[in-house]
Amino acid sequence: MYLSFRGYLQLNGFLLFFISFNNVFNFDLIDFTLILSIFLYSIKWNKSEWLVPLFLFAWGIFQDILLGMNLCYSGSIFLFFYVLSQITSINGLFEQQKIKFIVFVTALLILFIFKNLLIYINYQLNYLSVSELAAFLIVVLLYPPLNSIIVYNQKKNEKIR
Amino acid sequence: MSILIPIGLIIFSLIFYFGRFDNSNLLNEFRAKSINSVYSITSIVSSPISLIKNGLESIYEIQNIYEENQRFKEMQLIDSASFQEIVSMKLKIAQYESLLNASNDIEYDFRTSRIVGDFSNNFNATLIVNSGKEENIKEDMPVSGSNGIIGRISHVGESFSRVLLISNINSRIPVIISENGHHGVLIGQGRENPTIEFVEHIEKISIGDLVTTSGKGGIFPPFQLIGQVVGKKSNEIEISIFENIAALSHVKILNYKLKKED
Repeated sequence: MYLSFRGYLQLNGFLLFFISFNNVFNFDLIDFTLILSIFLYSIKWNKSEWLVPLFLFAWGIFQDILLGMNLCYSGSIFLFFYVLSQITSINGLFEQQKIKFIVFVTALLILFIFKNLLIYINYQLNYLSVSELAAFLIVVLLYPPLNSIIVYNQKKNEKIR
Repeated sequence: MSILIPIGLIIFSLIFYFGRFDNSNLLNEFRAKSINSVYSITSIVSSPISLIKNGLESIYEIQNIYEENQRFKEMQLIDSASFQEIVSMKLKIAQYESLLNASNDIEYDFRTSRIVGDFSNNFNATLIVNSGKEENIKEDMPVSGSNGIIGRISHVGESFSRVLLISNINSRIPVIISENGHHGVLIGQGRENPTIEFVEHIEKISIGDLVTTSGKGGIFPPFQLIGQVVGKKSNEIEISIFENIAALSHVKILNYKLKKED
């Protein structure tokens, strides 16, 4: 997706709005960082885009300050899914929805293992729990409908152009 | 080429994360100073959703008022008995202290603050309260609810502060378990029930034993209730905290100091 100035404004507005959800809702089973990652992965970004990663990094730091997380934690998750989206577009996997879904679930699994491993190494703590697994599954379940909406909208916009 | 930018940023983030640069004084100050602006921006943006959510919650609360009223009436009877017991125990303690010539060396003062941001569901469990430097709030001040200690102030902004909760993965509090005074360290697990480690004679601890702060370390005043033992393993004890943090709307920020001798 190529972004105009208005597009950048809309993207930043959307990121701010979505990050602000953390202020209102405090659910064990819903991880807004991962849900936002679905959007970042599903959107087909322009290959020569260089401003979006900088925005994602900055909004990541903003979210970390809000939630009290270690700085760069959210930013690296956002960027991870952004890079994944770019890589799948380069390899032509982006149009094949089943493969795209498998790549997403695998990436989520890697992230899940990495996060738990990191907590275990840093704090000698087994953070794995039922609610943690359930949050992961909810993101997987939310992927197909959200992805369909984004893909439909992007195709519609391309046709209009 | 443009893909190198996000990859570079990810590598930078990982180096930053693993290098633990996050704990530097400069960044801590940056965090503290940014709480105000970050929280103000997000609260403005989320205000329409907050209004809807608060409206729905109010309807639910009105529905429960009758039941709550009945429950309070029943509790009033129990509380009056407990109150008598507490008063007589306080009198007894005062008598014993005067007999032992022990001085009551701690002076308490507290400020009530409203919780404006609740992020207690993630492993870095924190709250944001609407008191800051303007109200003389300082880092490391203990924070309690009506039933016991819930954490301490970790960052102070101009008018907002962040509370690091007991369940936070970075939380470590020296505690005493049971009447026999077994010492240990309460460690946040990133979820509801924290655990106590480094306890000698763990076999002497029983389910239901009370857990209070020990006062060691100088951050928390001694004998503040935290919770009770709900589980035991070979080298750690699981506790359930008395305070239901999700149900809290206000907290007490304790300002305690040693009483100066006259």
